[in-house]
Amino acid sequence: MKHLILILTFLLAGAALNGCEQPLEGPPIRIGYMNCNSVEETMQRFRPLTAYLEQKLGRPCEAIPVDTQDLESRFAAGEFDFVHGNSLLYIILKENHDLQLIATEKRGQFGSYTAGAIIVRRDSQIQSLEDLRGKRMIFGPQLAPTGYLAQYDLMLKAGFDPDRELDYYALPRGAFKHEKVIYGVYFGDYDVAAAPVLDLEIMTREGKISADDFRILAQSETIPYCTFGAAKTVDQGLAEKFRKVLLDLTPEATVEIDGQRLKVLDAAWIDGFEALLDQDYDPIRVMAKRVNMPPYQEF
Amino acid sequence: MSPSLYDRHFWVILAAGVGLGVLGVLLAVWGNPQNSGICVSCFIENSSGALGLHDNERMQYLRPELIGFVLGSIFCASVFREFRSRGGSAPLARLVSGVFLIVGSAVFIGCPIKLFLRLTAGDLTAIAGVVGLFAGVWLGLQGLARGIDLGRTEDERGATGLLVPAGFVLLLVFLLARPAFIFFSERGSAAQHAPLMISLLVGLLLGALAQRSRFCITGSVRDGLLMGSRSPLFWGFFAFLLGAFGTNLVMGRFSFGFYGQPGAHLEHLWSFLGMLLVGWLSVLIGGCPFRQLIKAGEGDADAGLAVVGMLLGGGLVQSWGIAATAAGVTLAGKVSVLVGLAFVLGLSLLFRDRTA
Amino acid sequence: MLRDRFDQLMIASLVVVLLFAAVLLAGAGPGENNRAASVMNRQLEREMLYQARVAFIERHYSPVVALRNSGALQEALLKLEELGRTLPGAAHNDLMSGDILLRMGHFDRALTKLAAAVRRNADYVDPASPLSQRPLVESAVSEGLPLVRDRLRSQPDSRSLAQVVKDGYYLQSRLAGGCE
Repeated sequence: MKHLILILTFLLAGAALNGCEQPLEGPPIRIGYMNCNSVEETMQRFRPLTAYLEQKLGRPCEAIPVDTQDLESRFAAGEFDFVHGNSLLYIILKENHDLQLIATEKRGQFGSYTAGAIIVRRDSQIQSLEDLRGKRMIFGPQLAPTGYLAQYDLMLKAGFDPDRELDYYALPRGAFKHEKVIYGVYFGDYDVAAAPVLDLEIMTREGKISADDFRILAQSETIPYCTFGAAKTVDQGLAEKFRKVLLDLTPEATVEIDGQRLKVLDAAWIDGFEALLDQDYDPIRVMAKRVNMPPYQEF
Repeated sequence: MSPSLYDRHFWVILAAGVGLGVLGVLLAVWGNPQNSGICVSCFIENSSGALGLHDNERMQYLRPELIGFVLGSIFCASVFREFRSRGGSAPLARLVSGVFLIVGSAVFIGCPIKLFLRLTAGDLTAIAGVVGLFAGVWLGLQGLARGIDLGRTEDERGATGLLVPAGFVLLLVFLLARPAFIFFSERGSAAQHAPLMISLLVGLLLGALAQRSRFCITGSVRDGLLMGSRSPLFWGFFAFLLGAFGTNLVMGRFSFGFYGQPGAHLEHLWSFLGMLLVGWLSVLIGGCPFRQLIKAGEGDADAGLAVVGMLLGGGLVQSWGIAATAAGVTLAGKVSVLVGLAFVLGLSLLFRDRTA
Repeated sequence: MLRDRFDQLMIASLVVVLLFAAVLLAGAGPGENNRAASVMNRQLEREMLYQARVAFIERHYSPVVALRNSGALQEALLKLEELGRTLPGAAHNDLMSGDILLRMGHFDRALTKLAAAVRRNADYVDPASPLSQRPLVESAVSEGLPLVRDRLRSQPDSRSLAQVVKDGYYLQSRLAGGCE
């Protein structure tokens, strides 16, 4: 009986300790998140994920929003231990700064992959890439793999040089660049647009556009979507642990932020994470070389 | 010591074993679902659906084999003057046991006969069920050895033993007349069936053989554990395995592996526990679902109540989402198996004779 | 039996009751009993409901089928997103997505979508159903599963690939038949 009481006491104590939150130890892990639209939106999306990582890793974590254009220089300056950005940024940081691949984000029909499309209005007279000669086109931001790179590459592969053969092309400014691109062609400001397939998918799902509004002239092969990477200085053990937390994340995982319990993946607009291999990013490398973009740009 | 080769009963047992194995596979060749040529629990679920006890449109068919088992048994028992109305041994406990026999089987996806039909067709997911069944039978034997007894079955006046066979005669009438209130699936596994007369004749033959031989799967496992190769049922079981395996090979129905098996899932723990429940209960109430049907045909009203419980269970496992599918075991299925195990443990405590 | 008048009375009553039931059954017209008639109609209603469901699915998804058949696969996927707004969680949405993703060569996503569709509606692998899509599911399994399995071998710690392989096995199991 005495033994039984002792065992029960230990078990209860163990259970009670297990229920307590683990104290956070060590220097903070700095995670840079590429801004898609605004700092506020980035923080709103990724604060829950950061808090979740903090909980699971037992280390304080700091979410740092960063503009796409500044990401490489700030990374090079050692501001981040981990970084979340698009797949072209992954290639740039991998080639120039030995970034380690951690995990790829899953979102939409193609999961951890996505594609770029060249779209026109359904009623447009343009039927093929040939017909784009002398037309007005709008691209997404220049470092967007499926908003610029993929479409530019599609045209080059088809023997069409956008720099010389389009009437002109524009790049949007400010926030919601991909939506602006899609609306740009929808409202007739441009004849053709370079739209990420994922944005088309999301805007259709949200009822902002109809599937019947557009025609897809051409679509790139699918390439990996946004990616988490770790600086080469990050301890391998920590990087592995970080990867495991991401890969094990389920839609049911929650975290408390400002007194509210939030679903981590829902808040970040992510369906989950997948472990891709570095060679899965090779198509982007090929595209970047053909389009003469960083990290392979030659002057 | 092996059973005597001059013993006629031994050959009847072998015939029952071989018949069950060979015809169990052939019925699937003739139209029953793959690896389910004979599956008492699946057939019970189908029949419950046909009677309107659940509304899964894909699981409604009055399986002629079940009717054949009971009527074959009563015919044989009557011819050999073995029909005897008897009962009175913990009837309600047996009724509830019948429900849980189907729960355990539904979570595994198959009764003990189908368990071995699956295994002899190369389905390695059945191994967990085999281990579970043996463990369940062993636990049941431990209980019996320690005084668990549901009470004596006594001869009953009034021919109550005829009620369940009469019910199955009525089912035969329904099957042949097809009144509108009996449901027959047009899609799903219940729509897959061998020609009616073949199913019925096979059922009658196997029912008669099982009645004469007392052959059943859990009984064979039980006797095998108790007596090893000295038990005639052990050899019957061996004949059943050989017959099923050989027929599967000859008919090109052997597919070895864990994955992509028909009507099987990969949740081995629950396969184990489901069959553990079936094995344990079968020992306590004196037979697996197949044997309960045969005994009901011999006039055993207690087995008849277990059969009624099985029909009720067939309705419940479908209506409450207890039955597992190839997608896995539902939460309701897992909880039900645990409740079933709690029920067996309760029986073991309440029906134990501690005076010995 | 039949030893006294009581037994004889019981036997006679039994015969009368059985005869009465037989006469009732023999003479009963279809409209005699509303309850029985409603039960009789249930099978018919069930079949009508099923046919209506099939027709509903065919009508709603015909634009997607037309786009798919014309080779406009991405537009077909977008159309499915749009239909998902009015028919959220429809198994047919998953089925069509799986079909299109398979044509696009996304075997892993196709297997996941097809498995989700079959889990919700087993008619897609039932040869007896007008909704049957067995050839599609068979080709997804035969082409996709070996590829995904090979990838899993090179990335054994990938949970998502392991899940896709599980989906593939599930479809394989459903195609193999057996009890449900």
